Amino acid sequence: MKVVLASSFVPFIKGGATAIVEWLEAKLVEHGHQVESVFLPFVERPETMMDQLLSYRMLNMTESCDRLIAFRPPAYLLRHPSKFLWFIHHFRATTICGAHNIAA
Amino acid sequence: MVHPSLPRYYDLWGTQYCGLEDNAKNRAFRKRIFATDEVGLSESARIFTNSKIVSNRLKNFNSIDSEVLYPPVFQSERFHCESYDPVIVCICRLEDHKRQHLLVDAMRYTKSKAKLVLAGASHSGSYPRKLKLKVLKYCLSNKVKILDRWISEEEKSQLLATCCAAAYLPFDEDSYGYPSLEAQHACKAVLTTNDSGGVPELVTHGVNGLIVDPNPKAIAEAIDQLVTNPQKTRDMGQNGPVRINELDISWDRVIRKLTAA
Amino acid sequence: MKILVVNNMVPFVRGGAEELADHLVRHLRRAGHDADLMRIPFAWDPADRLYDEMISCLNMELWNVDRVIALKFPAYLIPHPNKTMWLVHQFRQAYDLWDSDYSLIPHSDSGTRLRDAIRAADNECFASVNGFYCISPTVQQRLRQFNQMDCQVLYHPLNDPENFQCQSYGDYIFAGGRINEGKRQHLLVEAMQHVTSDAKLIVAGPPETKRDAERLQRIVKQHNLQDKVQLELGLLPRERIANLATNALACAYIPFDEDSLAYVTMESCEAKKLVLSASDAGGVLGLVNDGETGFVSPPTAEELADRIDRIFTDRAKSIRMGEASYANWRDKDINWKNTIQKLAA
Repeated sequence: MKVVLASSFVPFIKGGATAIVEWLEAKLVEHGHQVESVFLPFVERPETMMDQLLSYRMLNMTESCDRLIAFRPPAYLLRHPSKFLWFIHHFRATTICGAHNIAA
Repeated sequence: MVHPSLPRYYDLWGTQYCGLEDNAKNRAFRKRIFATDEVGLSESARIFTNSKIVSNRLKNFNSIDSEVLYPPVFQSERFHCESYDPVIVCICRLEDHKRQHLLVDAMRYTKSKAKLVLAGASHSGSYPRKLKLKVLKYCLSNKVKILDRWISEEEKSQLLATCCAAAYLPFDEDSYGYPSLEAQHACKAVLTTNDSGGVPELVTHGVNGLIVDPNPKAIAEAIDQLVTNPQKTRDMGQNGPVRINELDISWDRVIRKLTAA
Repeated sequence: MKILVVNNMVPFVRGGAEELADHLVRHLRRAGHDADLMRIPFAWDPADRLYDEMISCLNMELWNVDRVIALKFPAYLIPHPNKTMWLVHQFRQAYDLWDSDYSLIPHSDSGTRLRDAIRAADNECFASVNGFYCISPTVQQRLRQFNQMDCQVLYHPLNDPENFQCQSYGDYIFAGGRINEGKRQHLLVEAMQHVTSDAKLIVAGPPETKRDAERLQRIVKQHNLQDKVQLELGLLPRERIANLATNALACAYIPFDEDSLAYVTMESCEAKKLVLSASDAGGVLGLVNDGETGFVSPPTAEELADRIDRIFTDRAKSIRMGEASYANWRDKDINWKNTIQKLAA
């Protein structure tokens, strides 16, 4: 099937989160799938975060592929009817603050 | 590497803000983050995570159920075992939160012929320097070797092939970490600490590794045990691939799950 | 310097701009820069979606990047304080194609508003960049006409000049490149029925459609040109193309109104071959001076046959013209070293 792998990234910073996408791409290709990886920029800065989230939300991948696999937030905001999520971690603010404050 | 405007904000958020319930601006921001999660998570047909820790967090923070899909390493077949030399290796970035300093400190207290190799590049120049100063200060240069540079995949698999065990002691990580998994593929026991976060999802104390308190003396004892009891160490190492199979950490499983209808 | 090249992507589709972006990154790295490519998914159907696409790019935030080199709409809208444009082309449906009615954007009120929104976003972006280059005089001309903007032409260089070093001067004229009606390889094949010298023609490249392949095969059969024309139709290995170009007596390239110098022309010049082209070939003529570095022929089979005969009856002169073609091309200094110097300046 045609699979798009989508994650957020900071240019020039390589790590586990980019490696997992690259490895999965190679393995999916080995299994006969067509794969494209998309890395979109994201920086968790409160002043501009809403604008940045909008930039993800505005992109509709429905016609691009059969399956969208999203990794780092906010890649899960990309639109696609068959969206799978391989969730590696939350936005940092989520975990830094702790669960007890969330209910509000 | 942190955005210039982040540290101040996160200091605020991490320390003061969490006590300041009535800061409307920050409360609104936090709400938006969760609203964003809500949209992205509820739209996803399937949700997988890389660990029980992250799955639990999704459950606690977002009331969302998910399935753990452990991430395999790439080309795990390149990891192999040649010998069990009395060397403990720790192959990961040299960073504060990976806590190689605990290992260096531990080497002050070891009584066996154990040697330690720390290998990895660093984002911060100061941490490797700190480690090297420690080695000098405590006259450990015949016991501790520090390779603070990029380690090629080949070099990594060679280091793992001949050591007797691998240490990985991050502070409170979300998942077992690739260094643990790589060691297990090479049939090597993993030495970790009970505050490492996700490593115990892979490593069971006494079965395929050792889990000890995060203090130098306890770590030193564990290192001595690994070196002076080679049969037990070897057995634990051989249990690595068994454990990997048990958890079904494989690309076949990943592909099957992620391309399922 | 950390340089991020930004381009569009349509998942699972690759073309010239994608090649260009990959080679740009490769050569930036070779020049010692930390370079990476970022590709922004782009879709434009239905037309209203273009608002979403623009908003998306305008709201992205980049950091840890010292310089952006932007190639296409709407990826070039991503804000960055140190942006250099190397414009491959604008969104032509809001410009020349809109005027000529070849646009998905309707000529309604809402369509006109969309067109204006695209032009406004472009103008604002172009005014904010630090360096502004485009890849051809045609693109430069469009920018002048529609955006009242001036930019320098910075041709895209050859990607693998090392493969196109002259080997020998053989007994054939070579026509490479994609095969379709607009590239007019069929005129060359037709010309071969009028040729009186011992010239041979080799046409090699991927036909765009089955019809494009059949057209050539039909002409060969119809005029019994099997001994004079060799067709190698399909996506050939790079080495085969290079081999054909570097061992030819001359090369021919006669597209209709091409935007740019075109890779095929540049490869021919690099291989020290004179280039036979046509008077209406557009950008290609930037490298073909009639009678010096090649021939500029009227686009008819008879006239082309005449030039081919001239090429094969005075081989020594053709070789001298090939050398002049190389010298003329090298004088233009179109190579990755210069390109990178400008884009990373």
